[in-house]
Amino acid sequence: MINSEHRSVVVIGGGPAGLSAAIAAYDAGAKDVLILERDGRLGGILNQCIHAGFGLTLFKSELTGPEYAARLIDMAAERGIEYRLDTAVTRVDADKTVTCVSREGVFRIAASAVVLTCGCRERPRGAIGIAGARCAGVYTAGTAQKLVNIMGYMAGKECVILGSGDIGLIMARRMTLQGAKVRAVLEIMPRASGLPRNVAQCLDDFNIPLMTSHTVVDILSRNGRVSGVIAAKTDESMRPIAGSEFLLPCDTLLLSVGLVPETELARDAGIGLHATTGGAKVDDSLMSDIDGIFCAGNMLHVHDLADYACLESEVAGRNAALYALKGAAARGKSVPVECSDGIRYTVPMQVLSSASGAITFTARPSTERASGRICVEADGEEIYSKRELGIRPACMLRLTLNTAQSDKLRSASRICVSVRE
Amino acid sequence: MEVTCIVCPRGCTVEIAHSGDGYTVSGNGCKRGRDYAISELSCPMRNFSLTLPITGGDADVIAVRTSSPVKRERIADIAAAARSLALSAPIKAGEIIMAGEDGEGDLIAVATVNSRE
Amino acid sequence: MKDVIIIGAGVCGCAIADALGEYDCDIAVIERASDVACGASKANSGIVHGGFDAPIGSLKAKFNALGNPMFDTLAEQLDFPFRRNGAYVLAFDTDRISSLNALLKRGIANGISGLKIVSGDDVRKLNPNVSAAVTAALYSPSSGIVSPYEMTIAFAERAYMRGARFIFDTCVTSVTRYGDYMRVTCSDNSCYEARLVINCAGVHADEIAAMAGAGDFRIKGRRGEYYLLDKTQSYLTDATLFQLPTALGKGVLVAPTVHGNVLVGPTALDTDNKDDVSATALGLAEAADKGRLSVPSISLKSAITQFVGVRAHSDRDDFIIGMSSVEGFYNVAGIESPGLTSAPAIAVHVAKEAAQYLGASRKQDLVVIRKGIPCFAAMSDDERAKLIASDSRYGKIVCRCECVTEGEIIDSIKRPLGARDLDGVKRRTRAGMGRCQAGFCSPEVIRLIADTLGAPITEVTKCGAGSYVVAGRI
Repeated sequence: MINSEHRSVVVIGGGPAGLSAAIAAYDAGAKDVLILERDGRLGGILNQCIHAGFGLTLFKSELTGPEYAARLIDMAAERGIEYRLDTAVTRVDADKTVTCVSREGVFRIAASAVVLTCGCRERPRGAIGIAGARCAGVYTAGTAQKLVNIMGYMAGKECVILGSGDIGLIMARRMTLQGAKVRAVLEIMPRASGLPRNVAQCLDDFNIPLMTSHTVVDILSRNGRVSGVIAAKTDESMRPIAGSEFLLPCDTLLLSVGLVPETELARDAGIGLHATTGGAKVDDSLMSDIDGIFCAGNMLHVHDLADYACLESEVAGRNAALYALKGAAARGKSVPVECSDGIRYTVPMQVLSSASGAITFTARPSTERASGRICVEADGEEIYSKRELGIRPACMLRLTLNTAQSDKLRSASRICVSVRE
Repeated sequence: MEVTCIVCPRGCTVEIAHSGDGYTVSGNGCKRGRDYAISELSCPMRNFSLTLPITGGDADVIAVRTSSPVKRERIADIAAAARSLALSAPIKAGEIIMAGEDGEGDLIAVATVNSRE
Repeated sequence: MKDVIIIGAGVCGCAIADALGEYDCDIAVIERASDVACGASKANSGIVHGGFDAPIGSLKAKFNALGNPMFDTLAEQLDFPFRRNGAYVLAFDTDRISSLNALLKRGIANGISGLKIVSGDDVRKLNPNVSAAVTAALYSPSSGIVSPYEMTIAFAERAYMRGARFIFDTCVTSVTRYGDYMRVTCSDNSCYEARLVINCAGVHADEIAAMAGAGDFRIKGRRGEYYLLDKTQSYLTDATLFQLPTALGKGVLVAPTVHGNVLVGPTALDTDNKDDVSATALGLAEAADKGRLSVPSISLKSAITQFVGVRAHSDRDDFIIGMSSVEGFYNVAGIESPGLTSAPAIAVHVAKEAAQYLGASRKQDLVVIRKGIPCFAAMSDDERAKLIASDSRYGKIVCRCECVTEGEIIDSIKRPLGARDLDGVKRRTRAGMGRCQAGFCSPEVIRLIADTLGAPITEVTKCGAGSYVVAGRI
């Protein structure tokens, strides 16, 4: 076991969030930043997202996942940022000792600051408890994406997709283009949960029916593989309606029923988690409740777009570098951000009174509205507002406050974010 | 006609109709939305990606994409033709895998696949 | 000609093959699935029962009492996970305390020591998540938990080391007596002869017995549906929590697993389709509802999977163990709960009787120790470093949820009676057993199976015949 290493910033996870955090940390002065990546290459889940649609904000062009990853990897390479592949972090201690495992052995790295960018995972069949046969042919959309896009094998030839998350919609198109038949996408809610443009270009373009207020109530099998699913209509409380069942023959059921932040390392380190996001609780420097451990990307909360995950991670990376270089300032009072009227959660969840600088909030709407005004109040006084069109839970809202507005927040004792008419 | 704009993630619902020689467009959040809606009315164009088998490389598959949009009605034909290609490594990112017809986008490699050592 | 053919590679078949392996005889085990432990032996509560429950004088009572104390030594010799965590039988009304007393008396009559009645508060003192409605409980300190499939695999592997041979993927289609030997034919047209056939065919044991002309009992399939909860829920209970049967019916248990998950179930529903292990919405809801009687804070948000086991319930309401009316055809049938606990004792008993019948003597140099696959997840960093130094493949974590390495997965495939499919790898290494339920690791495990077995990926299955994981190349 090697125990002697030290790095100012260790970034755990080399996906888009981790790369962005590392680049920002380097640019903020942490020249010995190290990325630890469990996979055999950098880029994370972007590598299997071969569809275009990434990078409009960050790179002003529409890139595929691998192209987007390549840009970030190039930026890291230009800076000579060190990374280790096939290296899985098994533990992060509160004193910021990072223990990791690779084919070379077990390593401990003492870090001045740590950024957790471990990504998220898909909810599996077991998490939603679909009844039926326990056979081959039931995959999460992301697993199917890896089978098809990375390994080059068809997950199935005749698919039903449960859940209309973006990966499910994307996979409907991918399976179709690879020659499979996609019978339908079933969504338990009255509306698609993915982006409207993905409904348009992944389903409508290929005449794949989106059956909202429907779910799968049974999985049938023949000879050990899925042979069909029993679908049913659902009522307002998302329960199947008796008598509405019908058979959809298929050999594959793909699930796109939600993503969950990967918080194992955070939890084991003792980091407090947020009940709504499932990710870490962070202040506006994106520092968790353990000093010097920062969180970003889908591990902090599940994003709609990689661009926003990257922008957020830059904040975490920059602050991690500052923390590492300047040392820990005593953490002052922090004020929790209250969410009301149409806002499910915000990141950050709290604002540090003692800090300075402009704050950017990411807010997840809880309901759909044609338009609305996103308001931030400090002690009841509206200090920021922004009109948005087409507010929907699938799209996050970004509220970029200026320094003056942020300062007002920092001196407030109550902060509230809401959507108004 | 009602069109869901796919130009950016916002996904505006754009209403478009012929109006004399031009169009009346509403609901778009930006100019690109207007252009998109107009193209949807005349000739819908799309980008798409595929995975294709490749031999002799450090990966068994190569991802390809359209370099610029192709006619939507041609997607299935282009995909079928591409799937019957016999590709072998090395292929560099951006290399043309299959040239587009009638000035449409080509299929280009998304990432590099090197020869197996 | 073999000495013994054992039909069925569940826990009984494998334990008997192992115990018979102590004698000088030639053993073959025939199994219709692609692996051992593919029936009720993989899908049960994993409880080593205290032995207070079975009717006095029954075979269940006898073998439970004999089996339970064997586990400490067996777990050590065979390297399978086992822990005596203790169990409570919970009573929910004051007037049910008499039922607890009756259970206590029965336990004492069955020769079980250490049993005592405790108050509801006593239970909650140690298990604060137990329902406030619990008024009293019977405590059984000798009750334990075990990984039932790992135990079965361990028995099978030691049986193999002791010379038993396993034949998979074929169904027995006839069992006939010819003169002084038995002939067994199979669905793949193979044919085996032996002096003794031991019927360990689980839910199908009555059909096998009928083939032999010894069909004087019936086996009913009794479905049990379970929820498995995330390891984060292990705080819910450390002891196994049974329920006294209530007016609403037989209760379900809430128990920790040896790997730190929590099990809620089983329901009990007789079925005509003995092979149907599909979960049902009603069954799962019942398991959850009844589980919440014991532990009200059970949340299905933390469920990671569901499964169904079909128990072999005999119409004689007890184990059926012994030579049948047909000489040379020996039944080990109707082995439902406490069958897992009883299996080691049943095996010793059956092996002795079989050896006597065959006139086989004890072997001299006996294999006693079976070493399992190294468990990277359970190791200290120093142990991990040492293991990786011995083989770098132990340094590549494939299953992130359960911390399973490439080395362990390759081990599980390469060892004797090794895994040949995804579920086989999962049962041996826990790869895919965690909270993402193989979402991340299955593509890699598929590749490792194909590479290690030298088979194309298109031939890799989830659980044997037909259960292909992919539908061809792109």
